[in-house]
Amino acid sequence: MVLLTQNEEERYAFNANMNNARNLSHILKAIHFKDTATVFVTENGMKVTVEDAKCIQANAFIQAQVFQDYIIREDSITFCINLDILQECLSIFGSNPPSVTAMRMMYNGYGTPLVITLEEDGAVTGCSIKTQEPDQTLDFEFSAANVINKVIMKAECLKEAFNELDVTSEVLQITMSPDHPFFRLSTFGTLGQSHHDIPNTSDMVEFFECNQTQSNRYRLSLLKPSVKAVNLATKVCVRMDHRGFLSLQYMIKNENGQICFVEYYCCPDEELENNDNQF
Amino acid sequence: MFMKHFFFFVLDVVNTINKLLKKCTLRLTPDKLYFILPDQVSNGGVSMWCELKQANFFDEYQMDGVSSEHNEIYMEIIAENIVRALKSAHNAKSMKIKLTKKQTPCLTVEIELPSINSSSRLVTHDIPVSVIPRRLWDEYQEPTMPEFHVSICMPPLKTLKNIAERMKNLSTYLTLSANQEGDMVMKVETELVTVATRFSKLI
Repeated sequence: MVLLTQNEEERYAFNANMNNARNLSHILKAIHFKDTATVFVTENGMKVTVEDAKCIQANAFIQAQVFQDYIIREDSITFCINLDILQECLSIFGSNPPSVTAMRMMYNGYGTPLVITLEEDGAVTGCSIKTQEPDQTLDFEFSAANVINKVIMKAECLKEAFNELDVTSEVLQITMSPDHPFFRLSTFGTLGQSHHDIPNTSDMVEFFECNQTQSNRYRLSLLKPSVKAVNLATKVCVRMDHRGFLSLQYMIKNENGQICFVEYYCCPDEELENNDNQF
Repeated sequence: MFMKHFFFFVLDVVNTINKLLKKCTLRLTPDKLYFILPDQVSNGGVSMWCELKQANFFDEYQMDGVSSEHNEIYMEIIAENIVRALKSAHNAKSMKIKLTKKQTPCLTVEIELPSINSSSRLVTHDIPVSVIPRRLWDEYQEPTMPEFHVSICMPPLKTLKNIAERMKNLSTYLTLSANQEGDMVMKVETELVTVATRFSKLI
């Protein structure tokens, strides 16, 4: 693997570098539940998307400001890449503080590999990862205008709840309401029902706007990966739209104190969807 | 008797042996201890020769070899047993190791541990060993160093370990190359990815 000259680097359609590779790998951990991801690059930044079963989608947003240099020579760039491999490469020198790995990422357009150079303590690693045909990603058509219920809370309180969910339950039922129980997570496992309530008066809740009682069930196995995001986040915003689609937005701070967002979309489980209030 | 760095050092050596092979040979001479893994070249695998000056580790060291002419002892030990015994010596005040004859020859490790009151607890491990007769000692000679083409000073081993662990997740085989200018490259190459790490100034 040869280090590229200044001129060679300038030819790339996308060329960006980061002083600390963890500012990228850390965020990608929050969405790493499948081995393939779709990467979208625009002048505003990078979006990495992972999907499963056509029901759940996770997006990580890394704005251009998180990078030290950021050059893109096209309007937008899209490619698919193996996320397991990308994460191994970003962590090649070991990814624990206080060590810091500097990283440069380059891509030359359709069909070319993603080239990454990483440097730590004088050792240099060059990676060339094959890219794949970008898959069409789902558009959940989730818009702020259609949001019926919205709660913003400190990630800690959701961390506890999510990590303790009864995995024998096929579904996670989320209830959001202007009245009691306000915000409730319910599971229906082999040992019985379990409810976890977060009242609107809790000091963990920073914003509470629920206009109508909604209770929807989502497949727990699909939402489980979002636990990774909750464990890394400082704040979470939970929103439900008129169709019962769920949006979970996680605010994650990196080592430079910059904020990146990760968003999970999940559609309600139609098979088990019913209108009986399971309070 | 016992000095702290002996403990951690030997525990590391024995843990490594344990991962490579179950058994190893311990050779004792008046000045040195040797941990020997015999030559595995014909079967593929690792061979090892580790030589330690006993004076660096022990306050007291006494041995009587097979005869005055051949004042050495060779014994075969199961690495896991030593690892287990040394694990209980973690906070030891002192440790004694003796070769004893119980029902079979044993390496007896006596560990003095602190306890809540002023008196000490004594923990004893008897590790069965098999003593290797003198006629087989030739099998455990120090391997000769082959003539080498390239010699480099390794970069920090912790860095190498991190890189090797990541590369292990990408491919089964690793290519290692080095030259006489002090450059070394570790590389893995598969259909999906090529990763190469270059170190320089390793002379």
